[in-house]
Amino acid sequence: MKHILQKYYFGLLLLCLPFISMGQLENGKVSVLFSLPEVALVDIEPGNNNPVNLTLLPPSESGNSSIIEKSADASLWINYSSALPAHQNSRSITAEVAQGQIPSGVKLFLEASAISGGKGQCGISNGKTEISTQPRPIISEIGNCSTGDGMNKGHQISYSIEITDYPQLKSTGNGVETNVLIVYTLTDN
Amino acid sequence: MKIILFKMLILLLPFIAQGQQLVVQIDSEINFDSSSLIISEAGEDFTASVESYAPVYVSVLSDNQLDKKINPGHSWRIFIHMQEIDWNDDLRLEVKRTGTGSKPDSNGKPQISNGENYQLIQSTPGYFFNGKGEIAQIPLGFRISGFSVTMGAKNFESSLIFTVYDD
Repeated sequence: MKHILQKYYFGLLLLCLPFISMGQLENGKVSVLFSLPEVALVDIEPGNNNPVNLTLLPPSESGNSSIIEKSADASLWINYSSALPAHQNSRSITAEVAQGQIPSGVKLFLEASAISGGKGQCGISNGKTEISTQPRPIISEIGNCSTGDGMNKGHQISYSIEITDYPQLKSTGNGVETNVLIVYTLTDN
Repeated sequence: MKIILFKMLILLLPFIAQGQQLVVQIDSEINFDSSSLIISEAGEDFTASVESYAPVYVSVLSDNQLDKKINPGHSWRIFIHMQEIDWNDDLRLEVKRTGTGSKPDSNGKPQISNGENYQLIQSTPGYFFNGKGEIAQIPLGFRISGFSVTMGAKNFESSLIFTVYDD
């Protein structure tokens, strides 16, 4: 009986040894914290010397009802970077006349092209949009994205004018310009 | 008598096995300075990578006085892996050893090797560096990359597990 007990005692100790020898492994633990901030940036390229000139010319024949409109080359591009907090769906870019006055009898229009390049959820053009002193969305559904920086990236901006009231048209005189400043804003929806 | 001595030896085995116990201690959390995430121009994405702004210190110590005296040059290896809490698969976290630490009980030069170049931390344990005996305050540097504005404004969190093995 004594020998049987000793065998069981020895066997039990052998069974326990692996659990005891596991003390050779030890772990240390540390937390890693990393935050990405909210981002909302928009600009027009090129950044300097970027006026757009629009000119109304007299008809070539008297009596013609139409007046030749000369639209400026659409050589401007709008770039933006956007990172939204989780609770926010999307953003838009609005345009408005911030300084100057659009001549009477004329309407100013702006159209953003479809996105060129970029990554993430870039915006969708709202098409041809009349510009006034009230902000109007020209690009919508902007999510987490970046268009790329510079010309030929983002959305190309095209300007045009339409004559809506001939009697209101007045000549400004040779060499006299009407200057209008347009401001673009990236806004939360 | 032989039986008694044999039983005493069996009883002592746990203490001998436990005497090989090494512990790894970590000093502080790992934080990345968000102010260094710069976008200088509209249309651009974040800078490519960010490094941790303060070192994290790792110490490998023995918690058994007997082992320290019998085996002061006890060889060991450190493995590291990640446990994701709220993470993104595109994020890449890398670690490197930026110093040798110090011997806690002497002025001798720590014997430590490998781990001096950035290496990717993954969800499975990977070998990091090895050393001999107790070494305290081993400085580590971390670098994170792969982030983008397309991830949105968000907080990410993970845990790093350092495991020390007998070598």
